[in-house]
Amino acid sequence: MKGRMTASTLYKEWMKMRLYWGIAFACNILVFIYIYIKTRHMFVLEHAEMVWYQVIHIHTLFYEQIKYLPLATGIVLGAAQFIPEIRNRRLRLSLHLPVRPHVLVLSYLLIGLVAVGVICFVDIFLLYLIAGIFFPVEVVVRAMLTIFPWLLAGMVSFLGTSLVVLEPEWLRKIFCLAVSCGFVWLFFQSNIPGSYTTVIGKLSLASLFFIPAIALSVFRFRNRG
Amino acid sequence: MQQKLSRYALITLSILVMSVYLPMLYQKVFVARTGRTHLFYSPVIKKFVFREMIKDHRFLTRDETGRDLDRKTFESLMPFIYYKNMELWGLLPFEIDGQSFDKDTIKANRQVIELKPRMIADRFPQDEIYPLIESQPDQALFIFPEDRFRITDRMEFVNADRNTVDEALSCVFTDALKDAGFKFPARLIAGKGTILKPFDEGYFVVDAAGAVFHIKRVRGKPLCVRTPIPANLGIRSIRISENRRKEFYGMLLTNDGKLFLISYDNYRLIPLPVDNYNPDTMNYKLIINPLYRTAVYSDKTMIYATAMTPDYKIIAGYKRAMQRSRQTPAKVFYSACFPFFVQIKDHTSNYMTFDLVLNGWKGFIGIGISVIIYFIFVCVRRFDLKALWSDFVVIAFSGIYGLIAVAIVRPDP
Repeated sequence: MKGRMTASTLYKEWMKMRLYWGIAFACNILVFIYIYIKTRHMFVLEHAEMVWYQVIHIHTLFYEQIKYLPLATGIVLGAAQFIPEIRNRRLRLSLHLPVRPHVLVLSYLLIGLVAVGVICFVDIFLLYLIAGIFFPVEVVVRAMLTIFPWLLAGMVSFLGTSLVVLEPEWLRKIFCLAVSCGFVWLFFQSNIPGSYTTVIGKLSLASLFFIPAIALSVFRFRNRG
Repeated sequence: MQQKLSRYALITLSILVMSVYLPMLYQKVFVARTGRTHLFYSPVIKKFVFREMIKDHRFLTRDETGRDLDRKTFESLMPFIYYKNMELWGLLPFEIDGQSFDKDTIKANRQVIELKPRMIADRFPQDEIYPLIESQPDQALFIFPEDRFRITDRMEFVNADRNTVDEALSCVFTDALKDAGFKFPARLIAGKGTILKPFDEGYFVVDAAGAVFHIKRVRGKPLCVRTPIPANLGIRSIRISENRRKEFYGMLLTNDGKLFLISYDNYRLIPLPVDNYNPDTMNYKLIINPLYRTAVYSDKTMIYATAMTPDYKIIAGYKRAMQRSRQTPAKVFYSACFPFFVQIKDHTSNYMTFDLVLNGWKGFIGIGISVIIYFIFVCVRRFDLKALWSDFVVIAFSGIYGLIAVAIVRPDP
């Protein structure tokens, strides 16, 4: 019974998100195709050692187009997953299923996070491939460390969007929006490659507070009748 | 219970975010930024002189005895720094202590070398792959080599055109290093990976045993010198200068905060004054002119200066509280209002931070006021005081941030 319900929940969430997930996935792939073409073009215009100098010393981010992509992906998928739930108060139906509300919310969030996470994983893999073609391993590692906070911002923006969308009261919604924006903005405070290496653990841990905070919005949604 | 925990999760998140942005906003709106103090040793009056911005772009310019100076007098007292103005004013050449100085003499004998905390090797992220520039090129300008090197268990050159290891070149340089007694891997690699310099001195590399090697590419061949710098010195960072004066290769910082110049005289170490110097927080500047060397180092609160003779014998010292460290009503209110803040950028490092910084005892004033405000709020609204004890605990630890958070994120009935 539980297995069937989990499968049904998974299917329902996928049905809601698949179009937007497909669009987000395609956008991410297109941006990486552009990054490949642009990086290749840099090597056509300049000697390879000059391009390396620009990337290693002047900190030219040849992958800077990715910067806000996971953020946008997280917002789109968060909205795609939860806006249909609050329309006509459909979430209340789900909350009447014989599953504990926080378990249900967690499963919804997990599905959404996996959806965002798959795109983030593809992003980091594609960057690894592109950077590995043109640059030495030191640059590849630094590039991946640099985009990691942006990817984490994508996950947090998904959680932040969920928090804002699910909150039933407008004043609190605005407050949640401010908190989410403020938190997500922490991941974009430096353009120096690799500068987040020392704090990414702390930021990841702090991000976990979003999960119980979203559960609060769901409780309030249910209790508001 | 779950609902309560969820509420406190949102409150904690809000406090975190507010403690980053509210103090930042306050500082931008209410705390006037004052510039650094510029402190020099005047070769004319043999005294320290300083210039600092007080407020609204007004400057305080004085000598160490407290005598006010106008701008022109101040600049005339530092003829080696403002020699271009001296030329415009028709004051070149000038004489000090019976020696005459013209523009060319000044230009040839002045140098500034600086070590900021963010220049220290472990305080900024870097890709540890470096260009070894040809030190004796066939043309007037330097050009970048087609390869870069890394030093792991050997010295490995990676060709940029093919993005593959150049085995032949790697073997030549690895063998040269081994012959010089180098122990792999490298602990520290210091050099200037740029072609915008008057000449090339290659790299100073600290090996696994702590010995310092000087490595250059000369006519395509390796030149590896094991320097007499002691292997047990505990080197933290080296900053290369490559200045036409050719007095020293650069600056060397040890783990215990000592600073040395690496001289061209067989790599002899020249100690620099470091009383009260903290490399993690202070900018260190060595100002060289034809007559004196002045070491100036400062953090946000204090500035220290030591004047020396050309052979680095100390002749005078001076210290001063920085203008920006002075308390203002806006700063006092800031400390009282915000008991702490989360610092995300530390200007002494290129790494981001996420550290909680306490604002001192004045923070308790803000906490006390916040608790009282919440108490009144609870009484006026006739909420159950006992049920909200945990809100008071939150405010007692976070002050205004907690007050805002618990007031907005109210518990549901």
